[in-house]
Amino acid sequence: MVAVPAIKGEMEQRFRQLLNTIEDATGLEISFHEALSYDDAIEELVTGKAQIGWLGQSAYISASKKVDLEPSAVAFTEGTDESVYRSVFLAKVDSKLSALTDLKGQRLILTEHGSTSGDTMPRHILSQFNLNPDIHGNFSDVIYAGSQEKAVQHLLAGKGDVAAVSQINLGKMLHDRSISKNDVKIIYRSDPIPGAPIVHLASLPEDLKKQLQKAILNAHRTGHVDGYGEHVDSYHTPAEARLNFLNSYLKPAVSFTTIVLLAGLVFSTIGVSIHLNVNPATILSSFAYFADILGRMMPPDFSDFGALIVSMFETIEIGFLGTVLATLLSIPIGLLSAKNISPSKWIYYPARVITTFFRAVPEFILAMILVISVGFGALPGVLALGLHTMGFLSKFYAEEIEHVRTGPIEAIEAVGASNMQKITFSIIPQILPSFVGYSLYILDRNIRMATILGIVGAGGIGYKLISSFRMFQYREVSAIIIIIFVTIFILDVLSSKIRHNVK
Amino acid sequence: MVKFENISKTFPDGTVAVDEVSFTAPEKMLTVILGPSGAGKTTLLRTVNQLVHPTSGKIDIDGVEVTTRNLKIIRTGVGMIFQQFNLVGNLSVLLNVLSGSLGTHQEWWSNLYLFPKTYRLRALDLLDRVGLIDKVYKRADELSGGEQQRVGIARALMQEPKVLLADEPVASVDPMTSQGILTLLKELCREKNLTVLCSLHQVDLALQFSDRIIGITDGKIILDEKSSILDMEKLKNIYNTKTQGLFFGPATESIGDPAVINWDHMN
Repeated sequence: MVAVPAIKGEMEQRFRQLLNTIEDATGLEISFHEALSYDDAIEELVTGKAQIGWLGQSAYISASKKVDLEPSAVAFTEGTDESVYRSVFLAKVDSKLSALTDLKGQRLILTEHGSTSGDTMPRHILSQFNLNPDIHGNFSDVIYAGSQEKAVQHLLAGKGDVAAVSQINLGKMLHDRSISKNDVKIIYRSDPIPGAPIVHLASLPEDLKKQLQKAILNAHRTGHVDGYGEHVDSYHTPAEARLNFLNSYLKPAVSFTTIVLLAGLVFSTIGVSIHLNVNPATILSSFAYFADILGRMMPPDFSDFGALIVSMFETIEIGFLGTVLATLLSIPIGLLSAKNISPSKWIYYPARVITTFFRAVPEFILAMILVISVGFGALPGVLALGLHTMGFLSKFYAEEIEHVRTGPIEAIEAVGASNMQKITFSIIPQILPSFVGYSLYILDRNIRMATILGIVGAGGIGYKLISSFRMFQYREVSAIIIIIFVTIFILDVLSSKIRHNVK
Repeated sequence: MVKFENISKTFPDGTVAVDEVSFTAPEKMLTVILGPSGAGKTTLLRTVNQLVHPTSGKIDIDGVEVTTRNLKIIRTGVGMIFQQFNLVGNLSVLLNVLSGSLGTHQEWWSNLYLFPKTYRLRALDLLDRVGLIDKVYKRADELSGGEQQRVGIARALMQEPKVLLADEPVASVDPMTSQGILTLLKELCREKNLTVLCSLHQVDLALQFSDRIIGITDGKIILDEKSSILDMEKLKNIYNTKTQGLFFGPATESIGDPAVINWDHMN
């Protein structure tokens, strides 16, 4: 058996107990050899000088390209059911380095060519921070220390600024007090690296391979085992190790946050219902009254059809005028309340306050105030709708403007255009489709809202509706509802068709 | 193994996208369908999982004609990866990969984004295989293009397909990443005994990674050879003169200098 010099001079001591157990179980005699380098270890397996090996992860991968190897068992760390370790980046305690982003131009110490934790993995991690030891200028110096221990010694001796080593070797050095916790600090810890397997040549006889694997997997039952790792206590099949590695990434299917949020939602729904006295039973018991009023609304009374249609038309006109007003007002206010093009915060904030205010006050309330000040009729309805939806449109436009792509603005700026030209050439073309879309949506909405505004005296069919209600003309009420429904239905179809074509 | 027999596709507007195409793509082989854009590569690929129904002709997958089986069964056995990756951006990487198993996991609770533990472990296994084990819980749209395509590959593998269709898999990533993605596809093709059909428009990549190249132009096969014996001259035939400049450097004939207008004298 050959092993790579992961802990120089100590590999035989680490594996001897396992080998003794295998020898006892199989009756074979196994000699052990610690290779001088990672490449030598690979070579011994390729030439067949060794038939069993422990190579570490990346040397195992490179060896597999040259010779057919089979993994037989992986070491599990005591009490963890896992076979993982990590690479760590170390700096001296008093070093100003605190993260991998600080490493550019520093002196890097690696352990040995082909080592997973001291070469391959650190290089992989550095590449994620756009650092490559092979590119001139990324590091002022790159040293291969020769072993994990020497890498740490070089660091302490000031031959380099940062060293990448295995957590296992670091743990061992701290344990046997060759370094102290007050000497070094860890500035980066890698994600878990799966531990490497003990391998054998695929060309060995089948029964011998089986015998060997069985002896290794059972070793912990018959005696004490060890190997490369922090307190190895047993060996398991590669498949089992793989499954445990994957398991370590598994999270519960439903997260704790989801459960808490769902429970919170259910709890508050019930709580609020109780507080507001919203009782489903009440709805059920009110069916009789509901049926009664429905009965009195039937059949609809269309005797005043002509007058109702005229009022309906008036309502549509109110919605239309309100939208024109809102659109006209929202263009300047929308521009001024967009953070990226508003000329100054003394204009931006007042513009925001205006839009928020009119959005916050319902058109119903606006209309009531306006009816008192400008009198009954269409005018208060138009004003109320115009002002309220101006608040909406301005906010939509401002947000659209804030999210335009900046590339075109930059390009128009670069040709020497004025501020106004910047707006007309790079911003307006970008927001135009949504400008038209929103305005059409607001038109649709305003016509619907105009029917309601009549109730407070702002003209249109809503006024007729509330009058019929007050005179208990329920059959006329149902006729009006039907007219409103048909009108809205037609408008809805038309407006979605138009908006679809604007895109 | 996928066998195309006289496959033709004419679209309702009269365009003949694929014209009498016949060939067999064996398993464990990466067959590249090479041709300029508009040649009919994508349409041909899509006939395999019946995203496009051929106007005439027959397709066999491992000896079973696709039209004789339930569409869902056929599609479960055919993985597909797309030019634009087509991941669901606001789902996690893991859920994107798990969605590849929806063809077999049809319990009602799949709609609550729940999957059996074995499925989740298998998805993790595949994500580790494509090198993304550390990003499994990220949102898919936080990943780079190359990483997203790897997720796409893992999603397709989650179906445990026999056939993998790759529709211009590297058209949206940079050249370095392209190499990585195609290397991965070729490795997986061998590891999992897949029949890989991959459409490409880059001649160099086709030569580098394919086991075999089917060249098509205007919906017809004009070349079908093992990539090891192909030469550039033959490949040039795939592209007509109009598009040649795009792939093989500028056209040699110059049309001469345009006339110069003196704008200053026009004011």
